[in-house]
Amino acid sequence: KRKFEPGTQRFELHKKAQASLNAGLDLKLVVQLPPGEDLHDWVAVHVVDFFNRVNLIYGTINDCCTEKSCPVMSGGPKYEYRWQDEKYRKPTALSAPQYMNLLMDWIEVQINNEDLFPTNIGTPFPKNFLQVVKKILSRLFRVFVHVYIHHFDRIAQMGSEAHVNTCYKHFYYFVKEFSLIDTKELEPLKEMTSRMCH
Amino acid sequence: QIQTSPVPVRKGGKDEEKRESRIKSYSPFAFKFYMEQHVENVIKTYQQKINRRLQLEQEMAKAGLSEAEQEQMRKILYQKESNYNRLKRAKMDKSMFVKIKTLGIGAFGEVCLACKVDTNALYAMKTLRKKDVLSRNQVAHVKAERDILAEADNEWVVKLYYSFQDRDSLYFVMDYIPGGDMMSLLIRMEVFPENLARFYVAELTLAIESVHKMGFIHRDIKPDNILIDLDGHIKLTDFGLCTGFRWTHNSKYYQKGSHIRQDSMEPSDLWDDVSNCRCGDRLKTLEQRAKKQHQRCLAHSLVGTPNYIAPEVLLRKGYTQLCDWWSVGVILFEMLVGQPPFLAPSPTETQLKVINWENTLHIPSQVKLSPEASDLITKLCCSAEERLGRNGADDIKAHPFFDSIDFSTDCRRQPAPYIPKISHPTDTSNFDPVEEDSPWNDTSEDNTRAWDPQAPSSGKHTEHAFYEFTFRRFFDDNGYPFR
Ligand SMILES: Nc1ncnc2c1ncn2[C@@H]1O[C@H](COP(=O)(O)OP(=O)(O)OP(=O)(O)O)[C@@H](O)[C@H]1O
Repeated sequence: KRKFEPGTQRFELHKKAQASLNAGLDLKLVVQLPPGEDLHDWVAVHVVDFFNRVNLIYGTINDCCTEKSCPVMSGGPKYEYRWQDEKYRKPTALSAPQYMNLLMDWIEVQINNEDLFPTNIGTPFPKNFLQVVKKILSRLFRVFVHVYIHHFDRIAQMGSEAHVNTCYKHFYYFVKEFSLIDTKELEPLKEMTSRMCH
Repeated sequence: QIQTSPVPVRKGGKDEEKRESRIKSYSPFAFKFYMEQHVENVIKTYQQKINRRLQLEQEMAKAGLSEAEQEQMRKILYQKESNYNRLKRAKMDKSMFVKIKTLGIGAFGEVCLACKVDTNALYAMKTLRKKDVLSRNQVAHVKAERDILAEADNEWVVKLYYSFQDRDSLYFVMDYIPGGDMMSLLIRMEVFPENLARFYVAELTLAIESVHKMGFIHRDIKPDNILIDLDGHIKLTDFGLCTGFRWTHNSKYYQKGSHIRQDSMEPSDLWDDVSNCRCGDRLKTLEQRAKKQHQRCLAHSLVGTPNYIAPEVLLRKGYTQLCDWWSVGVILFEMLVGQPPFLAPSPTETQLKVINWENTLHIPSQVKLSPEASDLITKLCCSAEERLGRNGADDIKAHPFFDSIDFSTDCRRQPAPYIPKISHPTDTSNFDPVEEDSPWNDTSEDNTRAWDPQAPSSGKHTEHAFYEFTFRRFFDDNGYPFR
């Protein structure tokens, strides 16, 4: 299902662009905190970036992630995620699209909160910053879980496996580097991760 | 196994029930496009960081600093890096700037003198309307412009400090170059004495050489794009048509479907559309002057004037860096003769004259040019195979016209023959006055909020065109441009 005919300029460009996804890039190295730099600022800029990218990933498959197809937010038969917040006081089973909406919404509020993610030079990060970041990243990880387990066919059909994989690797190396997600939470994609990320 | 989300802290007040979905759909094409660019940028950012560290070490070694001093310098750099990381998250929007005056109008927007509210620093701010950029198929060009301005750490090129966008517009915030552009100076002086022309063309040669060394071809060198700085030295701007031969600079990447439209640089009837001409009553002034001003309006309509563009570019024969040296020949001619060599009533006729240069290029005999000047013009305005510059800029520097120029010293550090008069920091008298009916004054809707095309609250499919547009210069001296 090649989009562009080989030999055409479009195809050449496409090939070149694809290559940049793998070319000599050691994502593991790239996520390390450069010596002397502030850890919180380093983490913050990554969190915002990952949020944007994961949101984009979900945005490409959300047409087939519906109340009907995914009545519960899950990662395969073994994992089911429940939502809890001020409105849903008890952990509540929601459909995947509902859950995703609440999740993205919630993260957006967090990262735009100046008290949590200050953008003025000199304003310190709050004491609980890394705590909040862990929550954000754990929730973002669930998007990967759901997309990989339930919607990978769609990703493949669009020809964007390499793109999603690269994003996942980057994300994974990052959370590992700074121990930002519990091993337990990483469980659902453990096997895939061990194949993909060395 | 059931996992429960941690309890989120929601800020009170907002009624989330009425909120509609934040998740928007994106086309796979847009997603892939964004990801590919993003990965490129991740690598680039990483390498730039390493380079800054290396550079610091090298400079410290040269300066022979003590170990304690070195440690101090490193600390400063690392702090700057951390601040930079933070500022990358800060959203910018046009409310952070106050417009002082319009400096020039282009095909897609305008350039104005603006003041950054928090620091009071002055900048030139270029605004492009997205819908025009998209409808005229100029996305690749805008991208190229952003890239070259963002990458250039080069005294010959106007520095870009920030680029950002809101729903309707793209913004470039760059150095304000107060001496006006070469076109304004030409309009005022009509012809340049040979000495002045020599100085400018020598600097232009060095400037173009530096652009070529960065791997770009400008393609659109013209007097409007040559600015004169505080000290009388030149800087290049407007890289809208410049190309670095990157995939993101290829127009074909920004079109849907399989119809591939022409590159706007290709000869087209667009040049005949003079509806953008803003001359109005200015045509009534002195004929020579009026002609030039009218020409200037033509230059600003749609894709610019073909007056300075090399024939091989117009003929779509494939072109190289040599095409920029052709433009230098045309500019030298215009400076010494008082009008460009292929002047014609319409862009199409100009185009024909350029293509037919062998018969149309005449240096009028009543204009007294030195033999060296005439010789240089004819060696630049000729077929690419014979053009000076085939072995690089040194070809041109070695021409007898430049015998009195010492290229071995840093030209920018030498005094310039003409120093623009600038009586106060916001003096814009070196720019031709323009009418003020700009997109800035159009604030009918709240569409100017800082805005990320891939952020969830937006999501038109064509928006992938402007992904990864936002930029912030590392060395911006905490909000002050370097002087
Ligand atoms: N950095 C700057 N400092 C001062 N003036 C500037 C600066 N950049 C541009 N200008 C002024 O604005 C005019 C238009 O700028 P520019 O050519 O970049 O705009 P444009 O919309 O791309 O125009 P064009 O139609 O020529 O492509 C210039 O001729 C110059 O007079």
